[in-house]
Amino acid sequence: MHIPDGFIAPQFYLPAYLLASGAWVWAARGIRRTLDEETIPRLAVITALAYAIGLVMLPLPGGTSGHLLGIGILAMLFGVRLAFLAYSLVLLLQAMLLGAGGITALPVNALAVGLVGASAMALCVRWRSTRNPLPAIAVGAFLAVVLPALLIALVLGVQPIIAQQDDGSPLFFPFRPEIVVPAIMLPHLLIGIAEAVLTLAVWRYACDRGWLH
Amino acid sequence: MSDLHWLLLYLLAVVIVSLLHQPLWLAMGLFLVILFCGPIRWRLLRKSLFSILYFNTTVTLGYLVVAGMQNQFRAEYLLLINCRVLLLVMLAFWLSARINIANALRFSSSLSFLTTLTVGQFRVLSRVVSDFRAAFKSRNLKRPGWRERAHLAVAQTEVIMEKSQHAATEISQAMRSRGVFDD
Repeated sequence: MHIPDGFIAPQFYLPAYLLASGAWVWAARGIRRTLDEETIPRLAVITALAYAIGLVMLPLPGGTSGHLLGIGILAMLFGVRLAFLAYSLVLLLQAMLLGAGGITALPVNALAVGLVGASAMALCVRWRSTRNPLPAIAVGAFLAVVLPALLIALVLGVQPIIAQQDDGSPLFFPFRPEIVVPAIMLPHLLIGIAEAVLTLAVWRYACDRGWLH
Repeated sequence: MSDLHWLLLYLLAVVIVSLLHQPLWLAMGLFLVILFCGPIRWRLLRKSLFSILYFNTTVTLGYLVVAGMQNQFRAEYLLLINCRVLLLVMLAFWLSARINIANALRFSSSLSFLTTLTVGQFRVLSRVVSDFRAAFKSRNLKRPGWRERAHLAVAQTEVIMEKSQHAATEISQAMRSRGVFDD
């Protein structure tokens, strides 16, 4: 799902960095309170897991790529703030070490996947039934993929509108929302289902290990 | 120059590159990066080309079809977007080959610590995954079905998490014993 480098106009990614910086400051507030010798190993495990899952990238028609995200797992275990920070770190490492995603796309990817995706999952986890939490967790993991996909599709789709040559040809991403939204959303509905199944397996595992209370 | 200075220089270069819309300037930038990369230039170029291959091919082919149908095809756009993406990815790989990312993020001790631990965990995880794959391959003479592969995925996930948990706990305890968590 990540947007690679070079497809987002500076008039979009620079304000996005401002917005993301605010979100990173908000997320980092109180990190000293949360990060201790018990939390850090879990955070490292899940960040590394999300990182590894994100290595498998599938090209999708219409101009982007898809893969399992792991953001639902991060949000479920650590909450929105740590999930957002950890996923931002995953995105940074992917951009710097693997050329996946990119530094110009980092704020958009982080806000869409790390913040919106994690928030969707966290809300579903908060509203889960104590008797049968599985549906809420599955829906949360599904939404944690589908909502960021929609946002990213819209961000890509506005690029030819906000940045074009005098003759109307695009300067960055070339396809408008009517092409890119269905091209991204249709495969991500399937990816969302796979993510939900994986998240349920990890949830069960985390419960067995006493990672969830 | 420190790793942080290289990182800041890289960020400035990224903004400049994304403000350039002439393929010739981007091609010159690419030439300069290849020139200054040193002996690792061809490895970095190959790695960069490989990493952008799928996405850029998809965009390029999609643009050929859509712009062709709308009679708005501009070859200069394809040159522009492919040069820009390749240059940005080359810059990123060049930077990561030149600096230690964790050192560059040392302005925040939490971020630097988390980066170090995550990269370490990823190495542990990669080794486990490759071991699993090798063992799975050696046990299956013909292509395994979905059921076998699903079992492999579940087993891999459990072992990865368990192993990483132990490794991370060890690292965390080692760092605590050295006073990392003390204010």
